[in-house]
Amino acid sequence: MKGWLSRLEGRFTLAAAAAGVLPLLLVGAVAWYGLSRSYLNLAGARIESEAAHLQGSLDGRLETLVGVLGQTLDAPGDEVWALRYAAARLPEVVELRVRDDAKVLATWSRFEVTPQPLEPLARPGEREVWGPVWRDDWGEPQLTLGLARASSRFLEAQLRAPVLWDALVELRDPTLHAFLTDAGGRYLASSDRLEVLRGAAAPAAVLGGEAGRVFRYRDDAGIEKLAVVRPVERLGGLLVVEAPVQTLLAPLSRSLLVLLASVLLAMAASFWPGWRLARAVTRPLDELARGAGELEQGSLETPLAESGPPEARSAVRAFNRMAAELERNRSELEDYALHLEERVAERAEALRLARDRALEADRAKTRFLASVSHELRTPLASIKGFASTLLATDVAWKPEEAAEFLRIIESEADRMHRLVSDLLDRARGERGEFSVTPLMQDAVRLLREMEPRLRRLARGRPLQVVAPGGPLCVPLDAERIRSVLANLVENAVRYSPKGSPVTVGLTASPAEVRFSVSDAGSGVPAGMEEKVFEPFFRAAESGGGTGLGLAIAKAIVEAHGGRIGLERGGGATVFWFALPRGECDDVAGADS
Amino acid sequence: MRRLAWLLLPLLLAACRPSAPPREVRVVVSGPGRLARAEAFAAGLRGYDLENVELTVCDAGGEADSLAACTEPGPALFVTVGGVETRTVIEAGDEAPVIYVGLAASLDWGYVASLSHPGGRASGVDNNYAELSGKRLQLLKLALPEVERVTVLYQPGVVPTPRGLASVRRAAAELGLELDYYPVADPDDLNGLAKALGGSSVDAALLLPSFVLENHLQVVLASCKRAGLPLVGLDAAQVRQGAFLAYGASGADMGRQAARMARQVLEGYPVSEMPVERPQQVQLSLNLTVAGELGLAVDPRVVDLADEVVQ
Repeated sequence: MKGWLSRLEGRFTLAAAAAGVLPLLLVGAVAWYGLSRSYLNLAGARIESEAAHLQGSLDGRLETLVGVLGQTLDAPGDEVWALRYAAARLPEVVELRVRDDAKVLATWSRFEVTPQPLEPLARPGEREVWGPVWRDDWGEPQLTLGLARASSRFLEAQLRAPVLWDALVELRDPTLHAFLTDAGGRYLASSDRLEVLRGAAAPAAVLGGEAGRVFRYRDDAGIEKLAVVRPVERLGGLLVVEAPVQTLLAPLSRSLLVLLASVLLAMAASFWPGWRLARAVTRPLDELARGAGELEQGSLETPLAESGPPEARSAVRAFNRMAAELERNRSELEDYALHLEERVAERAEALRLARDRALEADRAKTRFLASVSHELRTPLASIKGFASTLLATDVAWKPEEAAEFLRIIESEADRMHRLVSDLLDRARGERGEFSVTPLMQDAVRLLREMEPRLRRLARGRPLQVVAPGGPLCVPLDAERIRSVLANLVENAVRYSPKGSPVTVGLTASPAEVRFSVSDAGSGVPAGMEEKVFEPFFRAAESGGGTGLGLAIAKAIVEAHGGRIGLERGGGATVFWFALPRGECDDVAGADS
Repeated sequence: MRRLAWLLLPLLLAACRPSAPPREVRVVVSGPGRLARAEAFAAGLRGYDLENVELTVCDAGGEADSLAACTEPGPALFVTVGGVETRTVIEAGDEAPVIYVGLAASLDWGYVASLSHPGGRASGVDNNYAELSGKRLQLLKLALPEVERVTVLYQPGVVPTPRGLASVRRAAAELGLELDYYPVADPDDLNGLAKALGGSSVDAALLLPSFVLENHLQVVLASCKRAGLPLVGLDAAQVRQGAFLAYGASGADMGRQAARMARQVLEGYPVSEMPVERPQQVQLSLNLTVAGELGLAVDPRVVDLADEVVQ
């Protein structure tokens, strides 16, 4: 119960219900109080009126009774017939007797032929005496009356109290209860015959009521009643008219109950949709509060359920998105923390590799400078030596000798020129400024036309050119491609055994044209296949060359969109490069 | 919300509650001579307009053997209109309470321990008829002073008869009257009534309470008429049928009294605590037509005393 109430606390459902019910209850209580008081005042007036009416009837009946019996007593002549007439007129009479001081003059009984003699009651000087009440075998209270006359004639009468009561005008209001008590407070007559015949005593509370005033009292059974008490002087008793308060208020209670029930039903009928509406608003708020609590504790296990009006759904959706984002960030942080060492190790490895590359580059640069210095110093030394020799004044060189020296000097100068040209090309290639001017050429024709030059480069080695018969059109810069082929053939000659053959081949696939130069050389050591295309790489220190030829060849081929590579197998080393094929519609001349 | 529903549930259940089956109040009548009491009771009970009460009248039509059929169990209350009816119902063994309307000599039947506290399953209105038999004889003597000898018609073996006979004997002795007796044990005994009355020197006949005599009143009246004798009956109803004089309770009054008692029993008051009541009114009735037919000189003062005069 407490938990149930606590869940309701603060809810405007309860507030709304209370706001509706409390004023209703307050108004109902005030209305009930006012109406019941007014209703009971009216009922009291009705009871008073009924009591006055009954008392009037009772007094009248007693007056009639005393009057008829008085006439009987005063009547001259046959007393017994007078008594018979009186009894015929008065149904409450059980027995009558007329006597004088000396003897009984006449008797008459309603039930007996010879009645039991009555106790003397009438006394001289008292015209009317009401004696004690006694009860017969049936339990009926019997009144006794004595009348006296100055003539010393007396009349005694026994009267049935219930019959006397029934001779009165009946109660006009059946909800009321009226009764007559004797001087001792016992029921003498009543609208309820049972309490009379049982010989019960009326509640003491009602007997103590103020005469003639409406009052409330609680009877022996605890029932609250509204009553009016009026004294009946002749009998020494009381006339009481009363009614239970609950009975008096019953019509009002029924009406109010019907009204209250109708209002409650109407409220109940309206409460359901109101409650649903309120819940539609409070449920999302509850969900948000629950979700916030879960977030505070760690994480939201399940997304909040969307319900209620669109605004509430929107709020819940936004909350779910926020919770999901928080969850994702939290997971990332956890993951980051978890893999931080690995990342540091990776970064350290990368830094180490970069450093190694930098060191390698530095070494390469050093080697490059050393190579360049060496490559330049060797021909310079040769040029300087031969030039100094020619300029020596102490020696007279023959013309053929001088010509030979000059030819050597020219050769070394050419060598230096090539070296410098290669260095420039290499520098351009590294800067991405290596430019080629491709024109559509027939690769077969280009190779055939270059064959004599290649044979010169083979320096007497057997050189075989293998090419297909038809044209193979390729967009290329003929001069550059010739230099690549020449470089490859020079390398083949340089690094293969003397006298071994060199083969230059040309093949084609639908996509590209492939040039190859194979020799019987020992080739490049394993694992060095990529390095041969780096600047100043030499498979062996001997052999001459600048060490830039293959790097420049690679730059040229790649500038054409092609590929260059090295293959080994079967005792042969094959350098190759492939260029994308083109259409032969616009083939330029090989010399152009 | 569930609690609100629980609060409203009793209202709905009260609205939907099926009505209880009606409670039967069965009036048991031995024959036509007592039917008027049954009708008076029925009128009185209907006057209360009780809800859920079904009133039925079971009339044996004067056949004592048929009376047992009226005692089938089921009623909430039996209402009887005389001694034989009361005895038949009580001996049938049902537990339902019994209210009688006009039983003579309640104490002699043994169904009540005392008049103020019956203590059993029966109570009602005692018509006091056995005790009033002597009073009837007195009133006959007042009305017809020349009457000297009276035949008493009685049913032997009936509970009120001894009390009635004692009453008339006591009265006769006080009034100086002679009595003859004519027992009627069953209806066949009435066949010789006219001859018996005609062959005697009686001046009148007096009826004692008896279901045979009351239910075959016409035979009795015819016999009295043939013998030229006035009949002193029990109540005004018999005077209206041809008896000369009667002194007894008003059937309507007894019916109202018994109806009031029946209502209280139906409302739950224990019948064992319900005091036996005596009649509210005792009326003198005279039939001057019969007196004229028989050539009787009725004392006019008695006529003045009468509550009802048929003429």
